[in-house]
Amino acid sequence: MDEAREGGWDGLARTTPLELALGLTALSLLLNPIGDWRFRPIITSLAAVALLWPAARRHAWLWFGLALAAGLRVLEDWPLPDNHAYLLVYWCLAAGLALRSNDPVGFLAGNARVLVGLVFVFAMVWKVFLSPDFLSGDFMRFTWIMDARFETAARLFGMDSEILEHNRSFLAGVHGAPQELVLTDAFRRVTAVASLGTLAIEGLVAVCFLFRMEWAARLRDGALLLFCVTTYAVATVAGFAWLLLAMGVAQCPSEQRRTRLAYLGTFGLVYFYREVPWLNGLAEWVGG
Amino acid sequence: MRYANWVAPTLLVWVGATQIALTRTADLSPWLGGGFGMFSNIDSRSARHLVVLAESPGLWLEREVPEELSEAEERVRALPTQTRLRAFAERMLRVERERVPDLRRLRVQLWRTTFAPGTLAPNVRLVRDVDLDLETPDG
Repeated sequence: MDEAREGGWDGLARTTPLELALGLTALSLLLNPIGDWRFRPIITSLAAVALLWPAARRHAWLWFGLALAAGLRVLEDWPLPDNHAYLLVYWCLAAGLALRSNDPVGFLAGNARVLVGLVFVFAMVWKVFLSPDFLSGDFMRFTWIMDARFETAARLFGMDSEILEHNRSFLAGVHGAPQELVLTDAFRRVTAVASLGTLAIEGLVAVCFLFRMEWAARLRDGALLLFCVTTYAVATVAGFAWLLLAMGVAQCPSEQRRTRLAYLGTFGLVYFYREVPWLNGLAEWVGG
Repeated sequence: MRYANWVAPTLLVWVGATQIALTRTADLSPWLGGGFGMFSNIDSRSARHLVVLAESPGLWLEREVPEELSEAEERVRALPTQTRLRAFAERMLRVERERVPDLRRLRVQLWRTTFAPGTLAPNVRLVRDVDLDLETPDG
């Protein structure tokens, strides 16, 4: 048992961050296939090859091919693709360039840090400077009422089906709709905390990934992991989460075994979030 | 390879900045376009609605967007420029010509629901519209 554990630890320790990150990227593309009938066969085939053959995974052209296919898919579907569709293009491009560089591991780690940092800078710019809805708390209240993904969370804070239906009629402006929103105190508080918490964690990730100071480096992985564990529990955008986690792994040194395991565990947790309606079960349990 | 390190980050910044510009100048939905504005703003595609009206003599009828144009409709709601709205209206016109006898005019409108700060009271306003006139039958 101990030998097996040792072997597992050693195996994990021997795998370079680049190998692990690219393996997770390929796995995520298989777990969450993207593109229509023209792009999906190409992207999933390349991802399968990358996952099954380590030698192919280390080949720059495989990643340039993925970047091209993912990029054409974005262009063809523009402006409808989700934001992580763009991030996948940048990431695959970075992987290809890293594999052609003199220091692939360092190159990919640097690009992972900057890309994650920039994603969160843009997210912060939108929330703080460009969307008054967010800072006022209106966005969070609106979303928790109207977005079905947040319904269970809303129910946990006293917004039963009847209240939600009342509020949805109001927000939809249907004929004969109620005159105002009905919000419980617990719901007001939790949505305010969710707004501020989102800003705090996204800001922390941005700073930690873009700055090289020692304190930033120490907090970096924990901040990204905390973001993924909390955000994707409710907003189940698994493709985005897995991409961020692969980037996190890429910049996490091999010696930090526990942090690596935390990344892998969170990768599995996001799968659980996506496949198991655990929030519904929790709401039923709380509601008796 | 000297600048290779900056290729992917530069692409991200360029696309992100373009997205912000398009949201300001062409009504691109903040949720879309690669600027990472998702979950920040109520103005998603679902807050935008297309209304198609067909005029036959003395009567305006609201028309449903057919299934084959639903993706085109989504694109227009995501980025409702006048050019895109007109292109969509022209495609709608080709469909409606066969469905509405004696069709005279087709109007496509893009409406947006905004919400009052604090109370979230909804308010619907017309963003832009396009009118396509058909030539009178038999000249």
